[in-house]
Amino acid sequence: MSDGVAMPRDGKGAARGRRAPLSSLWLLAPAAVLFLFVFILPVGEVALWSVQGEAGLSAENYEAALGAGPYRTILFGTLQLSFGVACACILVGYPAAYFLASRPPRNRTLLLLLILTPLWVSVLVRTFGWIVVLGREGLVNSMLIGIGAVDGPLQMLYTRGAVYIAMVQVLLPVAILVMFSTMTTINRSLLMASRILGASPWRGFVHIFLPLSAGGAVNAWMLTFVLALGFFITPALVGGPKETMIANLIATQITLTLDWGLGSALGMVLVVAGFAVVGAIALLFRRVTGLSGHGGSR
Amino acid sequence: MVPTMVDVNKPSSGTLNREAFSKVKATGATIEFQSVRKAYGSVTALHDFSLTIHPGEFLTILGSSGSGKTTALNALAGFSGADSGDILIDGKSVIDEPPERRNLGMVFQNYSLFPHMTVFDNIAFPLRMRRAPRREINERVERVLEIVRLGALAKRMPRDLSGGQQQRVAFARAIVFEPPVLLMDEPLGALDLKLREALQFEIKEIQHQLGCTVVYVTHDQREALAMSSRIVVLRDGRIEQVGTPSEMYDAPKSRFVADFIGQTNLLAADLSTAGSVSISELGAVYRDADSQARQGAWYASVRPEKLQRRPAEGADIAVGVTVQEAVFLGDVIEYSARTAHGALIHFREQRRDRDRIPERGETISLVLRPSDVVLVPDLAKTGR
Repeated sequence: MSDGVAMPRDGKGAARGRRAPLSSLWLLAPAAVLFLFVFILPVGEVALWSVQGEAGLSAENYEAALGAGPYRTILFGTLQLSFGVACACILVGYPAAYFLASRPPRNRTLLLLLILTPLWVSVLVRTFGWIVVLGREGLVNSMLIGIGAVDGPLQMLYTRGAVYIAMVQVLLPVAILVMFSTMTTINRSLLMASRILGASPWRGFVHIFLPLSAGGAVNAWMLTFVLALGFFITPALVGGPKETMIANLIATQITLTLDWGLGSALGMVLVVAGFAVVGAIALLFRRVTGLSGHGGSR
Repeated sequence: MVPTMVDVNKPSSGTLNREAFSKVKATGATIEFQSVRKAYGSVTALHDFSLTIHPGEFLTILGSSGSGKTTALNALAGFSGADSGDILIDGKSVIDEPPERRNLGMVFQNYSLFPHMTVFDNIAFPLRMRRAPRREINERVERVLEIVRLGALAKRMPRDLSGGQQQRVAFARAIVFEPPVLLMDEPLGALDLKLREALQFEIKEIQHQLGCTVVYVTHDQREALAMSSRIVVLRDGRIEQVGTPSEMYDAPKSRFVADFIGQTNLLAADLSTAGSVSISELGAVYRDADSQARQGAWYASVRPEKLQRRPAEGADIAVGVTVQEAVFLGDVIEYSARTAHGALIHFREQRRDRDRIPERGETISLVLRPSDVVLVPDLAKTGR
């Protein structure tokens, strides 16, 4: 689990003296080559396109992307939605991960499998599932009408709420897995120690388990946030045109209007915005854990 | 034998600050286990465990893994309930109290220091949980840091400390709120021998100064002998024997205890004739006026140091042996030898300059006092 965020180390002991010997660097080569060809080069090219105007270098694409108007609204909407989805994943997933991690190891396997089964089904199929559930004549509406709770069908599909629910459902297993793997590294005898030293179960959780698992929660948040930023199929199918996200907008620019310059600029903005938010969260987490005397303080 | 008072190899950081003690004082509590029983599924970990531990006593629960010693400690700490029976601390039943309401200090085998807190915060934890005022917290933490001489490390994180230092932090954290009872679960198990021996003395000293009741769990009989005021030997969830270290060593009541505590020679004994003891493997038959005719599996336990080469007053049993091996240990020499009846026995003698060390294959004569032979039943075979 990326230590950098989970447990800010002193830097002193950890980084120094434990540098990987040069002879083992070749182990990184396959990943580095792959990364170069499928990430660095394409992103570089996209960056170039984004500053290409009618006549040479120009910032016009960025002006269009960031200036007042629909694009900026959609960009902020996407950031906001992803933020909310990531928070919801943590809030819903944390107790589930806690439950899983507190089972005896042999019972965990089956439960983990259950959590992971949704991942076996493609996002497309799962999203269609939500159409069946939330549609005008879907499961929820027929049930509500059946028990007489409402007179006519409620508009649930093609709302922001539908996008929220569908995205949280898709990303939740990822969030649970990340938090679970951090929680299993926490030594349970620490909680016993906190009890005998005078902490109630709740205070033991707040003072010991929560801080030790916070790194995992922050990692899970960042991962789900970044994944949510790039969501494409789900908002398109259950959100409708009203709930366009930036990924849909980019796709439109690239495949329909063929404005590759604007599409590239939007893509770059998304990448930078994603980095900025994740970086800010990571810094904030370090600052908070550092100042409270838990973790990075000298 | 046991390292004496001045241990030159003792790390200098290992000395305790005696003056700092005078300000920390706890009053030991009485602990009563009343017929405590605990089963895990079909396995009974503890059968009808009854024991009274006196105030200020250093009581060691000694046993191998699976003997129930940890179950007994966990029942006292409140981590696992009991199926039946009661536990009283100073006359008050605590069996239904959660661990945090029992006011016990505890040192864990793996120290269980909180990895996200500094040394200071770790030690302050029990005080904060008791909502002590900030000034008192600072005073008390500084005091115990002084006792374990770790004041300079207050701001360090546990992972930056050595094993011995972590152990002292765990200890400081357990005593900072001056608990009447201190529980220790193999606290020295993870340390190397030298450090372990040094810390044995420190722990004993701290306990003397504090006056708290200590319940110490270990599988190491040497540790138990060195530290305890009383020892309880547990076997398969039952108390095998309770007594002071010297009682356990000199007067074991069963073959198991004789074998478990210290070194000994266990030789089958025939007690079927009243007033007579026959140890065929030594070729020895002697009169024992108190001895009644007893059936079952009985053994003679003979400590290695009781067998001697030079004649002594009352040493009426003579045994001819052939030396197999002599092991030079500095102050003592340990021998293994075979009797004429084929039994392998061990004996040990203090080294004296004039003495010639018998060589392999040499036949020598050993003497033994009948009163140094302890007759013990094999409870597993004869029943309880």
